[in-house]
Amino acid sequence: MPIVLENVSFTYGTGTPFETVALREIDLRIADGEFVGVMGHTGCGKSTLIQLMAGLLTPAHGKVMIDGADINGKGYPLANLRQRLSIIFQYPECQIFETTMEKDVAFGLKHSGLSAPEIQAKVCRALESVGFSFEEIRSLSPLELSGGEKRRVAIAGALVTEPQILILDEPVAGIDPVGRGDFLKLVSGLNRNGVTVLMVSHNTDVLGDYAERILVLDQGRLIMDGPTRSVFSDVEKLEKLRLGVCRPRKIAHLLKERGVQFPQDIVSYEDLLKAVIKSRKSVAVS
Amino acid sequence: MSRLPAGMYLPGASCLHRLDPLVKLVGFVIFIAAVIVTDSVWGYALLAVFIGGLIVLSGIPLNTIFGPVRRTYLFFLTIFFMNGFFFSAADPLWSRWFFCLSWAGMIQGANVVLRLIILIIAGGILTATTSPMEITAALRRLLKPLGYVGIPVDILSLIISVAIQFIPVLFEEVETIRKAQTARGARFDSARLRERAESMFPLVIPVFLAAFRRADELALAMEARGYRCGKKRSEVAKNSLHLWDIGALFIVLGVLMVQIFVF
Ligand SMILES: Nc1ncnc2c1ncn2[C@@H]1O[C@H](COP(=O)(O)OP(=O)(O)OP(=O)(O)O)[C@@H](O)[C@H]1O
Ligand SMILES: [Mg+2]
Repeated sequence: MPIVLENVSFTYGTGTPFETVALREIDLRIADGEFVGVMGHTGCGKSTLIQLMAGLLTPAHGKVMIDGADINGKGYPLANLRQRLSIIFQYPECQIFETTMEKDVAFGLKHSGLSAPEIQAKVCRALESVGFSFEEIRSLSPLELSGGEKRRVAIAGALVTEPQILILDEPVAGIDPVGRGDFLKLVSGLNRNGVTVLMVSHNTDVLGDYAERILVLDQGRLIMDGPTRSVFSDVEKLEKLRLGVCRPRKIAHLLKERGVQFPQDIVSYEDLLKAVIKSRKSVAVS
Repeated sequence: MSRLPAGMYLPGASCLHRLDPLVKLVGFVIFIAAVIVTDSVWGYALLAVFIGGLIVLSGIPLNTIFGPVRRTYLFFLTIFFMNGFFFSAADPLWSRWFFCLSWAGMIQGANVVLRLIILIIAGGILTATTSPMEITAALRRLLKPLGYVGIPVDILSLIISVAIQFIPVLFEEVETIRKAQTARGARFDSARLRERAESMFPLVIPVFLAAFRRADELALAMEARGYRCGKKRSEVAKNSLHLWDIGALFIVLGVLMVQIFVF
């Protein structure tokens, strides 16, 4: 299900004194199985962009196409899209409303037409994928869980439909480092199994580690779009935009500035480690 | 939110914005009285001129002012026809079954509709030029005399101002949760009534929970900053009426007097 945006613009509050142009003329194509990071300043239009892709907002101009069909076209089966595309907002725990966790996670399957045992099997799988034991959690009420646990339940609720596209808006803000690591492992595991992932984040380290492609938005415009390595190669430009780059890339850049010969195609900690080990070896040999 | 909710404050510096909020509030009440006593063509003409003047003075865009009226035109049509058809007059133009079309009924309908429209527009001008904070401060000043007979005016006005400030926050909350649940497959715009009714739970429950949580947080924050119930509090700004405030009041009073005694 490739996602294609053609000349998409979006304005909030059209015709009122609070008119805000949130996106301007975005052209974009996201292929199946990509892991795309979205970054940019607060208010630059990231959330607007992903809500357009999920069919939660309708563009003022242009087209949003998923799998070749205009999702805002007449008669487009949006309900069907919602079974295949999931979006997790910041603080997803706010959306929990059922009396038990099993029922809440099953909400996304309500219109799926599956039988009760099939639904239960999927709910069980989703809850276990976020690290719960199904039997222990299924009948608990949201009042019996901590904020972090509720967030994991909400994430299970988004994954229960086994979406082909997963969109995440600031997913790691406010989670502890262990939870963040677990969550990112889960997401990259899904991505390895072919799920397209689109992740909005201010955390350049996370993007450097996981995203293979980065989109940079600035005041509603898509100003950079390319493989993570090439977007992060322009350290000066990103720093001028006051976005910065991931720390491994920054370290490589600082080494170069000090006149040290060091590879510059570094984005993840793994890359950095490999480069350091390699340079140590070459020192040992000479 | 792709469209402006009715009754929103539009910051500005027009003379209506700068008018004392208490005067605007009292003036609004007097104006309501003037509208209620109006029932002649010349009376409505005077009201129209007055409202037109206010609109020009306020500098608010026309579609913001007339938007709420335009969006609810069906409501006004219904009221007009209900009056037109169900008024039992002695000389009906046409009557069948219990319908009874008459001039008197239509005039009555036009009266009701015109009054409503004028009041909605006037209310819109008031809330567009006066921030919620100013309105509550004005209410507090207005209610102050009640304090002498033992009514806790400070607490009342605090409750009102907190409630008013919560409205946009709750709107935002509703919007966020509506989007989150839509993404999970909730059907808020389903044509089937049952589905639509069922989809209210996923919206209402989280919004209530969020409202309670916010209320708790606010209470904590207020206590942490030294708010104590029943203590006397200081005012941020001293208000005193200027000449033009009093002048404005007299103009509104004049409109009322003309409506009562002239038309
Ligand atoms: N519901 C709304 N009504 C009016 N304007 C809005 C609304 N939501 C967002 N905006 C405006 O649209 C612009 C883009 O907002 P958006 O939420 O897409 O930014 P963002 O990149 O997600 O920011 P953040 O990093 O803070 O989440 C901002 O200028 C914002 O003020
Ligand atoms: Mg955002």
